[in-house]
Amino acid sequence: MNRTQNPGPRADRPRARGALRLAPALALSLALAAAPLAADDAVDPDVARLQAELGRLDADAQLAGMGELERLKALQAVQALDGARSRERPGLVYIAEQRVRAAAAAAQADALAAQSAALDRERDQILVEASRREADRARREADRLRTQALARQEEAARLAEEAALERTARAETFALAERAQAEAEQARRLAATREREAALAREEAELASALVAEAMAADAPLPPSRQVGGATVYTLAGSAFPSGRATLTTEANASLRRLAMEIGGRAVQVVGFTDSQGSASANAALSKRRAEAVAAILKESGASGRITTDGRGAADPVADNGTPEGRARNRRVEITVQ
Amino acid sequence: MTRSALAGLAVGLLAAMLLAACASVPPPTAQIDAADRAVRAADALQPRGPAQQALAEARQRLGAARDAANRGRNADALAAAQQAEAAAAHAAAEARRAALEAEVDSKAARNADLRRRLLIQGD
Repeated sequence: MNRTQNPGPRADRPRARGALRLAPALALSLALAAAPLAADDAVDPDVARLQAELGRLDADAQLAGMGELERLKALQAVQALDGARSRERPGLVYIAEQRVRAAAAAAQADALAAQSAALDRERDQILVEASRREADRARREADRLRTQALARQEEAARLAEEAALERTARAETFALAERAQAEAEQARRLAATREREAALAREEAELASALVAEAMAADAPLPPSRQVGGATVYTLAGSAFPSGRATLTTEANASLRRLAMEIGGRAVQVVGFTDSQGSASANAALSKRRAEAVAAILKESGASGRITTDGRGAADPVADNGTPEGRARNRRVEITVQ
Repeated sequence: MTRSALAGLAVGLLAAMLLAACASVPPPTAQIDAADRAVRAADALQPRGPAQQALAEARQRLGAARDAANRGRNADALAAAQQAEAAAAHAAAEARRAALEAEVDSKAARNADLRRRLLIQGD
């Protein structure tokens, strides 16, 4: 900055020789020294320039009130130019320029400091807002969790209630089943009791019928008999069986029971015969069934010896099969008691 | 009074004025110290750019002030010390402005990042 270089004063050396020639120079120096005083009313371009810079700084609304101390120093430095002697002027202009620039930089620095503080406040507001939002979020999360927990509690209560209802229903079902089972058991016992009663009744009936049969047997006549060698042959007439059947009549049954009591433990041979009507094989089978029916009655009525049976059909007739009376005599069962 | 006598009187008057001027300015020790403190303070701000240039000028004028003081040229030393202090003040103000500019840029970026992370993403 050449224009601000302080050229530095140089003292003129008085010279003895040609001193008279210095008189006009002294006058000129005095005149120059007096020149600023004479030019007070003239506009100093440096002062005008620097004052304009300060004016622009003052006019900047964004920098209002900023760098006040530096502005004051700059103004004083500019004002110091007024009345400055010429040899001091370049240095004072330099100082004024530096002060004006320092004032502008200080004002801008103050504005930046205010902006920095505002940014700090903004940061604080951001953090506060973030904290508030975080708190809101945490509150919402807590509400959500609380609602969720409440829903779970309600669900658990509902499930517990359902389980209790199910247990109750199961218990009721179990009780019903037990009751039904008890009723079934009772019915079964009742049926068994009735069955036993029926069995007893049957036994009583059978006993009564046996007693009757026994009573009838005691009074019944023995079948007609004949002696053949050492054995006794009893002949059960053909009228003891209906025609074509092996079922004994009541009278024949009683007669056989009476005979069984007589036989006791002796051996017995039972042989059945038919008349000549019908086929031989049918007659043989019918005579065999009749012999077996007689043997069965003898055995259950007390004959305890060996009993053999045979069926001979129409063989060995004892009468003429040409007449009804003869065929009735041929239908017979012969009981040989040894 | 002769012409030579008048010339001698003028020379004597001028020499007397110059001697009076030199004798009226005491050594500007305080001003040089103040300029030195101002230069150190500005230097502590680690100036860059225009501030660095102003600080260089301040140092140069502070050296000139000390040199003039050593030579007994107190008026020159005083002027140079005042110029050095003004340049150092300019350098300090520029350095402070630059530092605050960087600080504002950094804080603005920080706030934008905070807003993005905490208020935009976090919401």
